[in-house]
Amino acid sequence: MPQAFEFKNLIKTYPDFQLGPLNLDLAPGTVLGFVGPNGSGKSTTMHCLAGLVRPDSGKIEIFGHENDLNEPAWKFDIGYVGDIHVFYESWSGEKNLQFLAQFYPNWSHVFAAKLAQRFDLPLKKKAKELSTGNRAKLAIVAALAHAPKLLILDEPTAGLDPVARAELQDVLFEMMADGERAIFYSTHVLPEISRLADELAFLQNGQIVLRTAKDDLTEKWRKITFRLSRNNLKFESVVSHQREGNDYQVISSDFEATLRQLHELGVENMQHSRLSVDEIAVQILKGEKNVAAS
Amino acid sequence: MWPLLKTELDYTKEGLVFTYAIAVIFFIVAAALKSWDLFGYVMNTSITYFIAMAIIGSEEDKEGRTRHLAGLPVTPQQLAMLDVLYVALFQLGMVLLWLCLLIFKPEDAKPTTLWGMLSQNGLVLGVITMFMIHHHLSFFGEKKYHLVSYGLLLALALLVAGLILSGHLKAVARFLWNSYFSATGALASTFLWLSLSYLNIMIFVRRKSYLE
Repeated sequence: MPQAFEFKNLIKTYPDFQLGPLNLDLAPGTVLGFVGPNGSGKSTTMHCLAGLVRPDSGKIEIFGHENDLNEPAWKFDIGYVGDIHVFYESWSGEKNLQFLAQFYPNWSHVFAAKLAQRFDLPLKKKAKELSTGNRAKLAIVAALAHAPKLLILDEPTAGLDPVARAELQDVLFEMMADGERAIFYSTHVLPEISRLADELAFLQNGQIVLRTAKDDLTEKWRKITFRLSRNNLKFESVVSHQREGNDYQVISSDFEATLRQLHELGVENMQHSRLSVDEIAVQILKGEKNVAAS
Repeated sequence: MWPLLKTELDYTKEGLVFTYAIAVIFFIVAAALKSWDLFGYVMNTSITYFIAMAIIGSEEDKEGRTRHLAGLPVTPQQLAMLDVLYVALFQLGMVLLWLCLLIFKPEDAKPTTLWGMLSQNGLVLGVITMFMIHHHLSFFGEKKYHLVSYGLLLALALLVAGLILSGHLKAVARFLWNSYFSATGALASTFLWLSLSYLNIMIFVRRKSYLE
């Protein structure tokens, strides 16, 4: 079965920024959280994937087909919620959806109406009269109504209230139920993806610094405190550490490996605790070199 | 592409109707007044058309229409053709009004008038297409390709300045004016418009980005 998408050595260069070389893929049935700080290249990656920006080199395949702009049939399989929501502003949400429906054979007006109802979206209002949150909701409905096999979501909850955020999560969970769809979800708000994502890819300065299963991440990363009276030690798999006298607090990206070493060193008063995905992300993006090497 | 064209015409219908309403008011005045010849009306409607296109175009940019439509399962060629057809159809309405005015001004129904109309049509569409090319060049690549347009304008200004200094401006202007009312001028301006439209499509499909 082909990958939902596959980037092969993708490069996109701007005067002050380069994305890639990027190699990244996503299997159907998987939700990949795409995490990175502002300006790390998340949106550029998604623009390339959605065919809005041409990469300088490299290849993108979507369900085994190159994302060739001249053969746009691959776009039937994707739903894209961009960083900016564009509509026919003087038309109602309903009319905007009717316009889009003409281009997608799988479009379901019933499903679109149901989604709008779940999101409490006023479809009769003109797009220009919608609040930021409602514009995001309309963009989400527009992206989901043709039941795409690959959903590309670029910060989709920006501007959404907590109820709508939760509703979106539920809808996405339901969409993933058949195991054939995939979601590529970019965000810098980790808690919203930590429930949904199967895997996480961390992007920093246009490069993937880590790609891992979410469960591995929360399993392997630990905060460890201990007492040790020796100096000038290099700890295994430790991405950051603080020391006050003989008291240490370290964050390990491979708990087992660090623990073995600490036992060998004969540390005292050792305690460890799990980190949230949010805390781990901060560590990864702060100390990309350590992580990449680990 | 037809659903796109239909949608664009539908979405901008208020602007189009308003523009044609102004053109019809000018039409009535031109038909009623002996002092207004056909070409006074042609120039008037051309200016109206330019103003309307500027407003419609800037609204389209403001709403991020290219970005919106580029996300759909359509090819860049279809999107580029959409623009070409939209401006041509809009202008076609003006040409029909010009032809209708001949009913009220039969004295103007001469071959030179018809060639002049065709020349004007080609020029109007050519100028609009040049603006479109200038816009697309901004997204053609990382380099500032749109500076080419300013370079061409500068070259044109230098050419005019050169003609003035060399004393040839009057002769060239007379030649252009005579050509405007001839089959050669009509063909040349139509060819210019079609060539620019082709260039516009080529540039659009090679754009590096459809984000605006």
